[in-house]
Amino acid sequence: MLFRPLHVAIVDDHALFRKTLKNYLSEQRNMEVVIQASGMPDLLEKLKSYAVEIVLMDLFMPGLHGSDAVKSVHSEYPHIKILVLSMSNDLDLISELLDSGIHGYISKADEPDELVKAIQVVSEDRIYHNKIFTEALYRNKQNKIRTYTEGGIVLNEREKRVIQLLWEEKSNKEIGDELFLGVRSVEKIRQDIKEKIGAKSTVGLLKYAISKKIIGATTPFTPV
Amino acid sequence: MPVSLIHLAIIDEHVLFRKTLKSYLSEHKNFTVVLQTSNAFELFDQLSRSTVDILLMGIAVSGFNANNTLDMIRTRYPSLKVIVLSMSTDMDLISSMLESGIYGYICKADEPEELINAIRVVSEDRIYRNRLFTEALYWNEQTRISPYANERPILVNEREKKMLQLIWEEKSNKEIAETLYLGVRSIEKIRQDLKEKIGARSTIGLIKYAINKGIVIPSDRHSLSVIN
Repeated sequence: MLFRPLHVAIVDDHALFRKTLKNYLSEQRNMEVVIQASGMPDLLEKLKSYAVEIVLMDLFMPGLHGSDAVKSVHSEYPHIKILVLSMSNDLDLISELLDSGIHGYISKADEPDELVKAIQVVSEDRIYHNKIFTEALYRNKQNKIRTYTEGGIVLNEREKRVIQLLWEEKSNKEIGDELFLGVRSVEKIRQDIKEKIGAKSTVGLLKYAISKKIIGATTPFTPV
Repeated sequence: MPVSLIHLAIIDEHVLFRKTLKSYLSEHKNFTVVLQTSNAFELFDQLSRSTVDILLMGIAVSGFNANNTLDMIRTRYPSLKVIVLSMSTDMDLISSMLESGIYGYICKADEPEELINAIRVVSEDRIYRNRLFTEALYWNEQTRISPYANERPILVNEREKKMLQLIWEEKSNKEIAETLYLGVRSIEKIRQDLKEKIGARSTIGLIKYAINKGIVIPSDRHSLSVIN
């Protein structure tokens, strides 16, 4: 039982967003932003000195981010509830997050009072229900079902898109631009795909994709 | 989307329901019911001899262990998609089935069109979304994150609350009995029943529960009671 306002931490590398959010939340009577951090290492350091019930975390930060970031908090502070705040609508990304145990997902495009409501719900150790979380739950379940119907290998929508763009002979940078990802992320996704399907090279990757009809072998070759 | 024939199988102990469902479904051009049975044994026997796309599994009575059957289907016929039909809206039941990879959960009390829609969606290899399935997904997730959040609330009555407060005040059973105008034996029994209701193994458990529910509020000052 808490006899004091909720302690909240905000982790986001966008300083302007972080500070304006802190100001907004400070106007709420029942909560207090006791930690502001620009990234995970900063947060973990400050958590040693300040007790916090809820962490508002952006998905994309330099260094540790996403599911790894969530897990790093939970490994030392399992009782902390995590609410992810992000611009991303990538369902595969969000559905992967679910496995690391988040209490909710709010889009930065949502109204601020939705965030306040979410914090309230999450403080009671309940998951915050909203459309995007529901979508992520279904995507997560759909991906898992596919795993056993297709004998273990499942590629998500984003991975399939990367393969299709590869087949169009796009560079990693061009793929990144199209999918709003950095080059490093594209490289990682390609690597993950290869590991998932057991391919040793890009050629192997494309052979698999042709066999699964992710790309069409009859696409005419257009010289650049 | 090319219109192709969807091969259906129905398993349900309620023969009347099963047969009327079969004739209802057979009226649809794209559906054909190739198999219908009341028990799992017959189901697996016939599955080995027919091509089935979707299995409609009716849960007629609670004795039928659906999860066992679902697990066996997943192992032996992984590409067979299952839609469960049931009267039950019990979250524990539905969420346990989600783990076995069902493609949809339809309440038998719903309109028949819902089942038709479900079959169409599932035939496209997509999970059929409805309120029950969504609720169950959240239920599952909630249980994973905080195992105690989904437990049914235990209602403690006024007398039991008073007793917890008196225990917190370090009163003996005799003193509690006097305060509540009851005999010591009755107090002992109420205390025991309360422990069982809450699931506490000792007085410590009772106190923890009381604090957690706000029935007693620990203060910063501890007043030592004088033991007579």
